[in-house]
Amino acid sequence: MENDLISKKELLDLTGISYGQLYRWKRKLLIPEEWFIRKSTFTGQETFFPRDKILSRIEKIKNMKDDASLDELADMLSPNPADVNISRETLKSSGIISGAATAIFDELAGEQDTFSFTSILHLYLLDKLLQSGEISGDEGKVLLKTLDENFSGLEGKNCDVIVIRKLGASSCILVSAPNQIFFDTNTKVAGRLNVASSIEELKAKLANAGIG
Amino acid sequence: METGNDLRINGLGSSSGGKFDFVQINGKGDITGDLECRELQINGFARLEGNVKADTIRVSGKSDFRGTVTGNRMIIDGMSDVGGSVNVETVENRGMLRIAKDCDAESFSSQGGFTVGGLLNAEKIDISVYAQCKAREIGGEEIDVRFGGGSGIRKFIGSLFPGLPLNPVLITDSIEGDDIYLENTTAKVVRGQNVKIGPGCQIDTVEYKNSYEKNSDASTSVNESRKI
Repeated sequence: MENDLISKKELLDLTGISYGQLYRWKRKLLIPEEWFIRKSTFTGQETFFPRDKILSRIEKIKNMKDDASLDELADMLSPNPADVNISRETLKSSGIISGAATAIFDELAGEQDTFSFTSILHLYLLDKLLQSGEISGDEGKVLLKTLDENFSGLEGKNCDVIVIRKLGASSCILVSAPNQIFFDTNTKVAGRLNVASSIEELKAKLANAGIG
Repeated sequence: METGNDLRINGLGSSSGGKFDFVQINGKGDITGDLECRELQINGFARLEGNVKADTIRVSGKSDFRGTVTGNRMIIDGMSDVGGSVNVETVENRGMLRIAKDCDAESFSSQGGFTVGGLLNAEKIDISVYAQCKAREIGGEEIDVRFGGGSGIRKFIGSLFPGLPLNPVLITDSIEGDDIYLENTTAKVVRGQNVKIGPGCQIDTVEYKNSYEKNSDASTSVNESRKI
């Protein structure tokens, strides 16, 4: 699954944090449980972490912990949706979501004056895939419908959203992560996003824009 | 939470759980579902089959939690089994506490015996070893383990409850923290900034960052120590 692991000792050496800090962050859920990978080595059981993820997470915590309390940080980093409602104008002026994505959303859900965090998240996922040119507007609609109907079942869990194409027809899948999926050779993965990391990005963007 | 909505079991009774203000079990009580309350007091014997969330949990008898326990304060003056994990700010154990999975707390203090099947993780860990204490791993900031003493009372309790693990020693795979002081501890690895090993310890490896001290007592052995 993940070959690039870092041992706990190496991690502390590299980042200069102490055991106390690491355990505190684990308790506060700043570091997800599933990143603690126990493996047997010749010195006994040791804990390893996925290298890139843990290093970037610790960097992030170190940068942000002066401005926010650990509990606020935990909220920001958790895969749970934030409890905010944002008006159409605020969202528009923040520039987080493009007009194209909003137009597709309006077409499906009707014009709403305020957006819940979940709607904004759906918009954000759609927008990211549209902006990168990975999916078309029509596929965007399929994506939104899939999210709308099934997202509540995966709330609070880490999941991936995948848009695939085969012989010109496209489809959208929502899978709980981490999981491996294999497709037949004719199927092309048009776009794939991790929802938890998108939530994290979105929360950071909202916080930067002074909303949420 | 609604106030004045209490659940009391005096004698023998059962409840399907729910949301309450104050829950008291005097005698023997079964709670078959999830329970959420401000205060849970068990004087006697209780079996709680669901998850429990309570501000204060006080066990002065015997309790059997089958699910997870979350709360602010948990005081055990008797015996308590938890089938899931414990996530409580302050844990005070003055009896026998057995947790099948992890235990997360800000402060964990124990004057008795305990078993944690997973990781015991707390900011401040204060253990007086009176009976056998066991955890797969221990992690935190300040970790202080001391011999509790009192061989007479141990013999007395042992005669009342044969089969209780009463040998006064803490057994664990690894202890990791910032400031560590240990007595009567058997561990494979101890890692920390400042490590002090007192009497009665059997440690395979000590890894330290700043300082390391070892008691010269013959009852203590450390196979290997290195500065990292």
